[in-house]
Amino acid sequence: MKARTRKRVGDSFLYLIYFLAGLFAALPIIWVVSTSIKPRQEIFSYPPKLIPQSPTLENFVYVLRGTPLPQYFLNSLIVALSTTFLVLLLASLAAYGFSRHTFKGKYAILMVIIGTQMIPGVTNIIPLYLIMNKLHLLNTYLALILIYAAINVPFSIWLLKGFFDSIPFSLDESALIDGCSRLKAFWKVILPLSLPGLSAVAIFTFIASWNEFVLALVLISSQARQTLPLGIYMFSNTYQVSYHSISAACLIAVIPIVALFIILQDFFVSGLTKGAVKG
Amino acid sequence: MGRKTFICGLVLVFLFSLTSGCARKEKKTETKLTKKEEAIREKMEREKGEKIGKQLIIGKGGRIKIVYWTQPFGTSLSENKDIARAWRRLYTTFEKKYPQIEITVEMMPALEAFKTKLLMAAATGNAPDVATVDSYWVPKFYDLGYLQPLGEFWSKEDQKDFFPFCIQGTSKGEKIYALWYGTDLRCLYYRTDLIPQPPKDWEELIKTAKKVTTKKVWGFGFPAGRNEGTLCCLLPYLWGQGGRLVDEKGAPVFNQGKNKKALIFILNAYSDLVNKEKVSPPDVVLSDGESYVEPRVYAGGYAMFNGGSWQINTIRNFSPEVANLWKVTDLPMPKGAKHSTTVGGFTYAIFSKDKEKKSAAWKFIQHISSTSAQVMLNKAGGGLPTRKSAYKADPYFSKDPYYQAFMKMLEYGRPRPGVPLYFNISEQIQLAVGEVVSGGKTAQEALDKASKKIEEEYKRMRKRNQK
Amino acid sequence: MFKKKKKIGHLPFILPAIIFILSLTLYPVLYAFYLSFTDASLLYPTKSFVGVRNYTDLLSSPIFFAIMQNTFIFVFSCVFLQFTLGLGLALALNQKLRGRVLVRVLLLISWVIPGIIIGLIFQWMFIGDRYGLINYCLISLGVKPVEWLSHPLSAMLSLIAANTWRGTAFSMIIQLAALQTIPDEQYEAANVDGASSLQKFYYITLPWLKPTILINIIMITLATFNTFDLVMSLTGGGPVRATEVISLYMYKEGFAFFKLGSASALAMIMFLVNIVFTLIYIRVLRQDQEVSLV
Repeated sequence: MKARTRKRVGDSFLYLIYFLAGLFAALPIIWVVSTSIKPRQEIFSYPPKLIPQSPTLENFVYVLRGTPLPQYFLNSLIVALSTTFLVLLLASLAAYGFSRHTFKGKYAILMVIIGTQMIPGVTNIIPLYLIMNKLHLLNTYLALILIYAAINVPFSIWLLKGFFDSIPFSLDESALIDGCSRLKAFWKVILPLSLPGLSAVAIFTFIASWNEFVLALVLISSQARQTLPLGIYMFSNTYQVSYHSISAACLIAVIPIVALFIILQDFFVSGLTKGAVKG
Repeated sequence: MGRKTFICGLVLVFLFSLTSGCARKEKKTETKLTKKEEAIREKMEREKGEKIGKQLIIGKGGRIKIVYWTQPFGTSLSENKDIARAWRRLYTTFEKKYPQIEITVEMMPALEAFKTKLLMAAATGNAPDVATVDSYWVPKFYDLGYLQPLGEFWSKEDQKDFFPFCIQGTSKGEKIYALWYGTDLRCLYYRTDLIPQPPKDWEELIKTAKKVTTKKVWGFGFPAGRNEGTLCCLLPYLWGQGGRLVDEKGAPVFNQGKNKKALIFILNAYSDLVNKEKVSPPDVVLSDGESYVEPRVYAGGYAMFNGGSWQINTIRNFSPEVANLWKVTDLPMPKGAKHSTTVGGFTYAIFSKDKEKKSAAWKFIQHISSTSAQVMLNKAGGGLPTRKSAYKADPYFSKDPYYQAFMKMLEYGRPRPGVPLYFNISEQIQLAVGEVVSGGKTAQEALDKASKKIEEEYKRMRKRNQK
Repeated sequence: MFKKKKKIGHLPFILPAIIFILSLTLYPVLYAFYLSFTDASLLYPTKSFVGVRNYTDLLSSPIFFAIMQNTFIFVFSCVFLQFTLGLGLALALNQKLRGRVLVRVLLLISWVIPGIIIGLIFQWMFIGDRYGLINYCLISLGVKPVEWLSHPLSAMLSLIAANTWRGTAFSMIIQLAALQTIPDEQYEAANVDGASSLQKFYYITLPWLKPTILINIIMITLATFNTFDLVMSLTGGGPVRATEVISLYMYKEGFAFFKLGSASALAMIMFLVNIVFTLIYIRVLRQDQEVSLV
């Protein structure tokens, strides 16, 4: 087969994958957008239409004005951002410690830390509820932030350690020779080089906290602190599932975050390349 | 970089508009409005819809602060504008009457999750002061000591205004633990354009359903999934045949004698409807409650269904044209069985032990369950009042043909057994229904399995209670 | 080899993180472990030691094995689909083709919607016999519509579809990142030698990706084993337990029946399963290569 024809076939095959993948990914989103602009009377119409007969923004208005959704959005944002910050702090310090030192039991401790990722999510709910109850932290941002951080730190340590491992030790050395303490060397030299890795950790942590449902369900019982997943879930109740409101709320929740990520995407992908995925 | 700055700017604007929405404080109007101004204000609110802000707080600034847990559809956040308005009015009148009481209304998710949260909170001492409690949970809650008896606030005379089952279903001996404020029942819905004369008993039901089932229309719908709705719609058939789930002591007897026979009949009948006669869709086992039939109803896919009394209101809100096709009648029973129906509904219960808070909570409960409140809320929401006086207070109930039918059915209405074991029995029967209808098991097998589990649970319960 | 300065050792760096993890992750697990040997229940204030009864009850119950079966079918289908789709997409996106940004954005959106909401969205798409989107598409293509969520097999398919939709993005991102580390010289050399695309893939790409593949599969497996919010809102475990996976079963035991002891026992079993599978993966995919996770 001629090389050019081979390339054409190869390319069209790739475009086919693209197209199908795009369709698969887009279908639910298209349907959500379509449902969100339908008035209540049209959502069960048959045959189902993609573009409603009388498109309306009333679902968005209801969700934004008539429900506490903006507050839920704010709560989710506060929790996710704080968790991300906390995780970045703890995990980068720890990863640096693991990367630059050898000591007895290092691998054992690392294995235990990473082993915690294997604990099923639902296991800890009751014990955590009891702990937070004792600490009088029920129904607070802090409870969620602390727990989410604990959940995300292991993976972040692992990711960042791989990243730091790929940064040559000579850089540390020169900083230390210049009279910096370990911490300063870390702060001034290593961190700036690790921005892509840190962005990766930040985004993983942010999304994990943003989407978390069960712990928020159990630990939070007040509007003032409720996060988005539970907030949107409340549009389905005993008597009906308000698909139109859910769709509208979903879009409102998702679009700002996606926009932010598009902006940061360059950082993100390159962050994973260096060392994080090395064996 | 230009595109990125643009997106950045958009996002910031978006976030700002969201957060500024909740930063604005709700104005509290202290001035008295004339009737005309009140009317205009209401009209404006109706057009705009309620603006919520951070949290729903009634009587902000009051000295006595209580926390109230309920579900969004039972507050001024309801999507149904009529219900929302009715609640708004109740809140405003309460604020005026009791300015010293401040109530924070917390929204809870759908029923199962709500039950979990309430139980966990109560078990660890974090229960709200007052909450909406589904009527069949009340026994479990007062058994665990979480509910405060209402006898000190609620006069026996006022209790007489309620239907007897409301009082019995929430009492243990002389103590009454919850106020049953709204109820519902199950009945047969049928389409008048397809079925001029509704079936009078079970055999007629099957015949009629077969006659009208076509490719596009299912003859008969009913919930058979893992949900409490399944039991509510199934129990009338059991009770109508004289059967029961538990005896007077609360011991499970559903797998014995007459009860067993009746249940086997029901399970087989359900399975036949789906598998043999093919008048019911196979997805009945996926129902998440009585409301599962509604989408198909709107699409014209059912000729009859076993549903809840509130559903005609829901359908009317979606489309009056569709609603006009439907009428209600008593559930058709197997030959020789009496008419029966399950009455459900919600109650208000007080958890707080603090004297002042208890009293404040009671004032609130009393206010939102008064005769006029019940009339207003149920006219808007399609529920059934639990006060006999409510039916007499407004001609709406006696004039509306659906309510006329419901009022007659209420006379043979029966609540679910008020014993803590009911939770478990309900779950096992839901499973049994599913296994017979879509799992290929025989009714006998399924019931025996269910019964075994219940016996174990009952033994464990008795042992613990003896400790 | 650097001499350890006496001033600051490793401890200040790693201690904060370790304290966090110990108190908020390990301690609860130990408490759950303890609970699994009791008959604790949210409905009763007291609990008593019952030895291994919870475990024996579970392991001897036919329901448990049905649920494990469901779980394995679910997890491995998802792992397979998410991995291959993720890899395929990563390969496709690695080329400089048009429309990259759009596909990336779509995948991002799928990643950012909470699992519980995705379940509701997919329920909305698969529901009913005629007015759901999927069935409507089928009807337009002249195919008979399927009552997706009412039959065990199709319900499981819907569930797998929903979870794959959500999880492919993550898989793709990891693979894409790894792909971009492969130096171009390798491919150029191969081109000089006249290698075909398939040969290039097999001899260059795959070996380079091996560590990433291992990590990817482990992560998908763990995540899918623990997924339950999507299952809860999409099918609730129905019809009649056909899609009830172990994490949902555990949630229901603990929160619908309040049997904390039993739920904790289930959790311990799941934990064990997670560890076993991770070890199997490492063994299988390690082979001769010096692949160390850390």
